[in-house]
Amino acid sequence: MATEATPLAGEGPVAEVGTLPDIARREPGGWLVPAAAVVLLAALPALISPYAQDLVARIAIYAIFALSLELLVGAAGLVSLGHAAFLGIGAYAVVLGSGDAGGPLVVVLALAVGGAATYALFVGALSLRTRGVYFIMVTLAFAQMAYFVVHDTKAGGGSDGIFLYVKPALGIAGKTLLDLGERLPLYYSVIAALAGTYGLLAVLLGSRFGHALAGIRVSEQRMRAAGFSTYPYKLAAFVIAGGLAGLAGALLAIKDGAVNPELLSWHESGAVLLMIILGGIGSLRGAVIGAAAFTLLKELVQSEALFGALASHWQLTLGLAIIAFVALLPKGLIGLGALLRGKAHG
Amino acid sequence: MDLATFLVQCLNAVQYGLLLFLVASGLTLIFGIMGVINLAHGSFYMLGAYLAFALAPWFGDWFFTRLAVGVVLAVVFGYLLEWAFFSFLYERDHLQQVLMTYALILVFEEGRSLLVGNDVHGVAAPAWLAGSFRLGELMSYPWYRVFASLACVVVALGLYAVVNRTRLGMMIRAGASNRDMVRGLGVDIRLLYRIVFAGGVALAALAGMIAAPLSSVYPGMGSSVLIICFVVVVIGGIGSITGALIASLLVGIVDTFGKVFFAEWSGVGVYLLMAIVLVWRPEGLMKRGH
Amino acid sequence: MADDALLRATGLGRRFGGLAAVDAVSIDLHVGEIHAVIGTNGAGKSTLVNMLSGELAPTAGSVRFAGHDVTRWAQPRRARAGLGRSYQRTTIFNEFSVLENCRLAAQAQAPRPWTFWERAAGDTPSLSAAKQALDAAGLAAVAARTAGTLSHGAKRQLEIAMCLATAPQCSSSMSRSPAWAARRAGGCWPCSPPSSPGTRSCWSSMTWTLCSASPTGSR
Repeated sequence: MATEATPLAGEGPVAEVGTLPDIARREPGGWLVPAAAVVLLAALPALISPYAQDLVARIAIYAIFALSLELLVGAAGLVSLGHAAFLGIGAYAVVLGSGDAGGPLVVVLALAVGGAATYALFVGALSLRTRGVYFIMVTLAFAQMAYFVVHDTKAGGGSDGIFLYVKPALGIAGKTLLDLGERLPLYYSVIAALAGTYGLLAVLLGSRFGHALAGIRVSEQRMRAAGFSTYPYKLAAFVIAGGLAGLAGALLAIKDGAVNPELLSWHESGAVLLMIILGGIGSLRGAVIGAAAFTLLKELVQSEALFGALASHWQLTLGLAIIAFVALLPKGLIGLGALLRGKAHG
Repeated sequence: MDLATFLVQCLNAVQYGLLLFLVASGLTLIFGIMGVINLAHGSFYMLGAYLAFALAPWFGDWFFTRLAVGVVLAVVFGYLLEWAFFSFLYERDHLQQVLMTYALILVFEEGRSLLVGNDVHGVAAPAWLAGSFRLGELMSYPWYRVFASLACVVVALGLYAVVNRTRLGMMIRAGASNRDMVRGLGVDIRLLYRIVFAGGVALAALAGMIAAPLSSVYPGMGSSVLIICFVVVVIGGIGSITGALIASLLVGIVDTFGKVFFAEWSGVGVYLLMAIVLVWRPEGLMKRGH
Repeated sequence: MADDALLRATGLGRRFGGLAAVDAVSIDLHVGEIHAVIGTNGAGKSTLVNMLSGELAPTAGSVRFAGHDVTRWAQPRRARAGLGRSYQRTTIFNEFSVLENCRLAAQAQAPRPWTFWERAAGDTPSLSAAKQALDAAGLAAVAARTAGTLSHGAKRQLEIAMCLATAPQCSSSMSRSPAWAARRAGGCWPCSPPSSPGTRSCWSSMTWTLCSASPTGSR
């Protein structure tokens, strides 16, 4: 029941009534663009090589990871530098839960999402007692704690990581419906997970909960003055984000067939932050675009064909590229469109 | 655990804590005064250590000369880095600062890789500090570790003197408490920032140089010290040097005795300490200003 | 006897280290009253208001509101119970539309975060409260505008509209403009007097803090 109100003529930009400015609403094309993208992704295997399919699946998994962080950073305004911990916990949960004989898909996924969400509850409950830079540092520290557990302890498998010997499958009454050890079923499962995550977040952000999160991002003090207990909202966002990152981690473990402690490293946490800033903060589409752009960028700087001897020192090129990018294009690739339009109009 | 072993562990804890303090004090000052979160701070520690390695053949046993040259180089480097890069970060939001300084780490790590490679190196302690003294019947303690602790104490005292007894220190304390007011009072804020930044870099690099004979010189040393320093700053409170000192010593104790008692799980001890502080005092033990 | 005091602060005090910013202040506020707290810079007005609203915990004394001891209550809880406040600097949500500003404020009364499949834009209770508040504040015509683009005066009106949307029983505010305050002092800006359920509050001027309470029927 949105009200129609006409703005006073010539008096500035009009926001869509009841709109959430950045996330999920103002994006051109509404639901059509993501829906078309899903259709395209579903059709891809018929058109591209297995190597490319592999790359697309990998990008899709990182897109889920990036979307989960978007909920934290873009919607709630909580910059977390420890998000990789949840990716890693999800991944390790699958491997440890599968054991030697493999495990049912539902069970290992529940372990992954549940395990990640539980750790997110612990980390969030403590770190959300802090703000700003403290929050950034604390989230990093708790991720490092998880890193040490998997890196140093026997239970965690040590610095070499662990193999996933049998990939999980979905079965009913002895019949296998979906074997994620096969390439195509895994691909479609990943695409479905991506679509589901995107849809869930879009709905979440348009809900009362999502609008409250946005309010907290813009001015937490004002929200408190209005009567919102902001801590539970932030904690809920943190836990959901953690759980979704765990889902991404689970899929990554299934796809790669192995996990190692570097999944929880702060390099990974930095990378996912880069993805969302690359795509443009505050946009679900931006998160997906950013994941694709970052993955492709990494492939690019490591390519010897383009960089020759510098390819082995690709971190240098990547670092310089990031600096240039953040300096020149702070609104990310999504903002590029607006930037170009602005230039076109002079 | 007998008394001698306990004493050795205490000395180790204090020595580790004091080295941490050197690095963390720079970090907390830079954040407290300039409001910039600097992920690359650990890299300065790493650079200091590699500098000690690189300068060793040139200065041989002239240990203090080597330290002095290293500190001067670090100050110059810090000054230039602030001018060329960091001064552009002050106006940006935390997320951009995080990403830019993260990218800087990548650049430093690869730069080091290109210049001196990725090998682990040992740096010898100077001859007059080599050797140990007896502690009880079975234990001995290296002289160099004692020197390291004393050196850190001297620097800490010097830092205290500068911060609490000089005009520069007064501006630093004011800036940590209320940045905008200091600007409003007409202090040449750019120069102040540059000095503070160069000082922070020098402190971290000096810590790295002192630590080089103790922990050897290896590629990952920057990241490990950085995250522990974050824990120290969170526990101690941003902008507080006293807080950094107390927190560093606490971390040193927890980490050292943790390794003794909890073996492979010792790595999480420091983070549990941070968790406890967060439950009890979220702004840090001695928070100042904003 | 002041038994029916809506807001009662007793012996309220706040120390910052050695400094007593507020020392043994007691206030009784009854329904229908308007109070002004006047003081020079540094007299402790902000501190007092912050303790009443719940942003700052007192080091001494207590606060009672509508019969409850709210001394230990955090600000959101007090706000939900009907004790609102506005700020000296405009604190609206600049990024959101004018309507969304009020709707979000109204949502605090019935947050219902769990039913996440329901769209906020279609949330009838908060939308109607917001529309009423905007009508009362004279901002209905600009409901769709981005709040950050409003004039300063309109922003202050929006601030009030947001406060109205939450229908507080008692509000305190700090503001700066005397002309603005003069308009307020006589009642309200172009709107109807409190004949309908809900509250109206009037605001302050210059360095004054004003606290007012009016009858409410909606709680």
